[in-house]
This record gives sequence, C-alpha cells and structure tokens, in this order.
Amino acid sequence: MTREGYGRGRVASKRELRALRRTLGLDVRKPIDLNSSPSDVIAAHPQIGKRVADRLLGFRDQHRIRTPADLYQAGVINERQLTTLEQVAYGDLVLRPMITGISTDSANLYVDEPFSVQIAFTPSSLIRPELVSIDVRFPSGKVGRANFTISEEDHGAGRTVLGEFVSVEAGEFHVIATIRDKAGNIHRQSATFGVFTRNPVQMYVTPSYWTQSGNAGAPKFDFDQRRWYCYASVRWVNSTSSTVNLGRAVTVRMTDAGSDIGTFSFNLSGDVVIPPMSTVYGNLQTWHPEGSSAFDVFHAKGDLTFQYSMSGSGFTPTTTLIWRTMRVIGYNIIRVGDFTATERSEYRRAAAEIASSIFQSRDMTVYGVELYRIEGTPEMDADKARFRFIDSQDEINALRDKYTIDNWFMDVFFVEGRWDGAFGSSPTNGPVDKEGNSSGLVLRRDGDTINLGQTFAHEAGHYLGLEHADDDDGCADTDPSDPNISDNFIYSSSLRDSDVITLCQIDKMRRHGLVHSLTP
Amino acid sequence: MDADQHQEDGSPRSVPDLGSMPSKYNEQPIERKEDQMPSSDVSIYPGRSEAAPIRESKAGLRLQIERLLHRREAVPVETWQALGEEATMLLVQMLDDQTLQEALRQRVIATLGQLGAISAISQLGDILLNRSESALNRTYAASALGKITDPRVVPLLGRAVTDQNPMVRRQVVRELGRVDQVDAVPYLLILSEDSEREVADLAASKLRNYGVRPGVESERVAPEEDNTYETQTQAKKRPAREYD
Repeated sequence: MTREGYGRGRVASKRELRALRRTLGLDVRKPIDLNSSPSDVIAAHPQIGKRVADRLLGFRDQHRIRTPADLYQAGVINERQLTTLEQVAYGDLVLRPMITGISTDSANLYVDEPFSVQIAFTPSSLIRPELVSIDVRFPSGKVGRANFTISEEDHGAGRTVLGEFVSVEAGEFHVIATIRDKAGNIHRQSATFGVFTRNPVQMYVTPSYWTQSGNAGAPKFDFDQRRWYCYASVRWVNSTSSTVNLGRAVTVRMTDAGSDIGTFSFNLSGDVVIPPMSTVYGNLQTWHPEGSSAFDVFHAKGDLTFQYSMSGSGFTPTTTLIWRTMRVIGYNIIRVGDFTATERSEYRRAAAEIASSIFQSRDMTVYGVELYRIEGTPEMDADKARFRFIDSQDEINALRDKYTIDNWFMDVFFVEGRWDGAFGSSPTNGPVDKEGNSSGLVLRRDGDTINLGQTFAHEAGHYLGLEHADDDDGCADTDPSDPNISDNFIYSSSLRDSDVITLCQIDKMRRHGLVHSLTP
Repeated sequence: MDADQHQEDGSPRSVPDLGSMPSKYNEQPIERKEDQMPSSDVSIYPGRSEAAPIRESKAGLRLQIERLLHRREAVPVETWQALGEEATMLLVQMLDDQTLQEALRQRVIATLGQLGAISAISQLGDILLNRSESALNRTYAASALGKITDPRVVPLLGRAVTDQNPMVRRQVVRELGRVDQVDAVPYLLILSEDSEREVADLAASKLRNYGVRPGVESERVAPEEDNTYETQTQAKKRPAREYD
C-alpha cells in the first residue's frame, strides 16, 4: 500500500532571517547625534566609516558640534563627506528632520487588539517636516502604505502618532517610516515588533504558492519523480514567558470534503525551540507519490484540507490549510552582459520565488526558470557588446528579432542598463510562437531582488495580455479611483511589494497560450 | 512548445499539458480576517480617495517623483515636464541622496538625460569621471549627457575616452556620435584606435558620419553601424544555455 505522504523541513537560521529582513528593507541605521552618540556606534556606521569617525571624534573632544558644516569648516571632512554626514547625522542645531525612533503604544502587541505606532523625529528642525509615509508588513504577509501630514503641534513635539492598526496573526510586524521635509529631503527608519496571541503558542503554515481564491495553497507537480509537492513556510509564535520546545515531529491529517483520507508524520531537521515572547521561522514540504489518495485528488484538479500539528512543552498548536492545483508559466532568462554568479542567482530567485509569490494569490505560479546567455561565439560576443546597454527601442526590437528559445517559457532578455532607465518593458499580449520583434520582455539590472521580482511579474502580466490597472484595461474589478490601486501588481507605478491580482486579470492571463495547466 | 523533448544536459524536458478537464474543488474555504491600518490623510491623486490633496510643496513633489521612478516602464518625458522645473531640480538633488537605492539612482540619471537637464551637466560629469562610481553608473551618466543639447557635454564625454571599462567607452562613442558637434571628432579619433574592436568599429563608423575618414587600420574592420532596423526573415538564433 502506498504511503499517503512524506515530508521534511527545518527551522530558519539567523543568517536566513537577517537576509529576509534585508529583503524587506529593514537594515536602515538610526541617525547619529554628533555630540552624544557613542564612538563605537559612529565608527560602525557604514556611511561614515572609521577614518571619518576618528577625525570626527577627535574634533568632538574639543568642541560642541552645531551642524556637520562645523566639521567641514574646520577641515575635518571634505565636501562630499559633508553631503553624506548631513544625511545621516545631526548636531545641536537640527537642520533637517530625522527619524530618531519608532515605537508602539504598548510593550506587547496582541492579535485582534488595536494599537498605534509613534514616529519620533528631531524636534524643531530648521527645515520643517511635512509628511510622514509608512510602509508596513503584517505577520500575515499583508503589506500597506499610507501618507500623513505632520501638524505644527507634532513638529514642535517631535513625534506623530498613527493609529489604529490591527493584526490578525501573530508574528513580526515590520514598519518603515519615511519623513519628508519642505526642501524635498527624506529620512528613513525601520523597526520590527512582535505580535503575540492570547492563545499562547501558535503555528502558522503559509503556502509558498497560493491559488486563485487567495486562501488555498497550490501544490507543484514534479514530472521526473511523478509526485505532488506542497511547499510551505512556517511561523511558530510563543507568547509565554518560558521557552517552548515543540519537538521536531509534524503530523499531517488530510481530509477531502470532510472525509478523512489519511494521516502521516515526519520529522523536521531539528527541534522547534521558541524563546519566550518570540517568533521562529522555518519551512516544510510534503510530497505525495503516485498511488496515494492525495496524488489522485490533485491529479483530478481537486483540493484537500491539510491539518498540521506539533506537540511539546504542554502545547499542541494546530493549523489548517487547503491545497489546490494550479496553472504555470516559465521564464527563459537570457543574459546580455556581464553578471556575477551572485547576480545570476538573484535574478533567478527574483523570477522563481519573488515573481512566483506575486502570482501566489491566484492559481498560477512560475513553473521553471532556464538560464541562457548571448555570449560564446564571435557573433554573440558582438551582440553582447552592442546590446548590454540598450540605447533605443529599435535595439530592443533588434534583440528580440534575432534571438529566442524554442520552448513554452517566456523569453526575458536581461541587460545591464537601458537608456530610458525603465526597469523593464514588454509588449501587451505577446506572441505565443515568439516570432517577430516583440517576442519577449527586456529587463535591466536591479540590485533589489524584491523589486526585480515585481518587475518580472509586472512585465509577464503585460506579455500575457494585461494593460495597466489604472488604464482602460477592460477589467471591472480594477478601479483606478481605488486608493489601494497601487497594491495591484500591474499598476503603472507598482511598488516593490505590490501583489494584488484581480479575478479578471487572472482570467485574462489564463487565456494566453504560454500559460499551461499542470494537470492532465 | 519545444519539439526537442530533451534539454541540453540530457534530462527529459517536462512539458505540462494544456488542461481541459474542469476542476473539482469541494473544500470549504477557511475564514480569514483582514489586517487593518489607518488610511492616508493626504493623497497625490486628487479624487481617488477621501484624503485631502497633497499640498504643493517639495515634500509632495518628491512623493510624486518617487511614484514615477517606481514605474516599471519608461515614463514619457511630457509626464516629467508636467511636474515643472522644480521637479528637475529635485532630481538633480536626488543624485546626492545616500538613501536612494542604486537602481533608482540610475533611473534618476537616465531621467535627467531624457529631460535634457542642463542643470545636471556638472553632477552627471562628476559621476561619469568618478572611478569610484560603478561602470554601469558611469554608462548611465554618459548616456544621459549625450542627450543634453549643450556644448559643455563634449569635453566631459571626451575625458571618459580613457575609462577602463569598454561598456562605458562604447557608450561614450555612441553619445559623441549623437551630439553632432565637430568638437567630438578628436575624441572619436582616439576611440577609433581603441583596444576593444567593438569600440573602435563603432567610433570609426561615427567618424564617417562626421565626414572624417578614420585611419587605415580602423577602416579594415569598420562596417557602417546599422542603426536602421529591419525585421529579419531568417530563423531566430538560440542563445547558449547557462548552467549553475
């Protein structure tokens, strides 16, 4: 008898967590108070550097610093260093507002309980702060942004309070605040807060790929191994004051329309040990071989409910998730220019993970990414030199007209730069046979992998037939007057984390010939 | 669909079938609540929400500029011009902004070129000639300078003929050809002897556009650059496969 399922998973390392936070843009340093910040903090600031810090500290021993210009006038720093210092530090006389802290109105935040966020900034700066913008990411993964005016009273007090927020899941709540002053300068700061649950230990399983309904995970089929895979990230939250050890065993109970079809267990690579009032991240995957009930249901385009549970330290957190089958697209990334191995790995990740996670909310995902290069023959080497920095739309057309890959993936020409500075471009409703001069996307280098993933998804949306959500796109469910229209992944100025796809949009894309079904 | 069922590494190509069978979803959706956050009290899109329109100030202008810089595709020059001259000044100011991400800074550079911003010449020149800037930033700066109609850009581009990176030098050639000023010829003559064939060929071609016959050595490899583009009729070429 075939076993119903297998699984594996592990807890994320600190390094992975740091990398995740970097991708969220959470590595912004606090500004430096030139008169009172500790010397080691100044020396460790990446934009100041140790040499400037040494000279600055020497000057500080003898003088009070009114503004960074004091250091310039004393010959301690040069003009370029002054420009830098004015953006990251302040003295007794505050020239421009800088965010000095982000806090919440209570020490601990709890699920379903409203809270406010306070942005503190240097008070009474010479240049008046006018707006504060916030970008937040809730534990559930939902992101949001908003802009607020700063009143005269708040300017004097050096703080503004924004409320009210409510999180429906426990985990980490990230905030990036940007203060905008009258001179057009900005200053940015980030913070992370734990959101806890009155139900003391919780486990959340989030599928790596979501389906059209937005509340079901999408399994992936492996054609070589003939298995269905259910990939997911996991978050364990401990709201108690003691460490909780949930062990490593995960039990999965599967039901089909309420009827039990099987239960199986597997071990993670290590115990899930959650410190007091903390969140621990990890991932897991289950797979279901030919002959199992789950395989048969998924292969018939069906869906199943999985109940995941763990047990330890007297707690048994449980969570449920629906898994459904989906449709797929693929990318051929054709490199035109010199990219390091790390860059190649990142643009692959942008396509396979970030863009895929943008399509997560609907039943479509990125099935595969294949890498190619225009390089290696005299003709291709010459074309690489010609096209690595694209100089015109004619060059884009010439590039697409000359090269293609004969498979069902979309061709993505990845160049170093573009004359127009655009992140990318694509024809609307590109050709399925990839003939002619509009047969692919042309993207350019972008060190921000999240933003690049957004570009992949956005341009793929055009290729698959979508117009901008704020243009006349023929979709009744994309309202240009919706204040949240910028959350739509194909809004003309979609942000790096815009991930909304409407039903009309997904239905349009599904009709394109380069979108395939994974099931027979 | 790929006629070849095997990838270049010999492994079978997995080709999903186009689905025709209807789905059989029968699970009850799991009810999920929505996170909440406060709404903006100002908007840069009047009429789109109940929020008040943003005041006309540099803070609001910067917000509008950031929105345009985040556009995936190119922003028409008229859209930038509609923001007024102050927007151009703010873009120039943003070149020094340490908080700006690299890709956005490159976009600022390209946009200043698009706008033909004379007020940006000095700073763009600094970027082009600053070896601590990345080669890509220098290329963007060369590209932008070439699009500004002002004689001062020629000597700045000319000082970059010794740049160590061939991508930068090739862009300099393109821009020296584009500016259509005779002062560009001496620099193009230098570049027509460039060690990189791609650079030398292009420089020779640009020189001919200026009516200058490059040296014999350059001429042997100097085809006319094909700036006009015609759809090709022959089969497309396949790039080389790249493996991890």
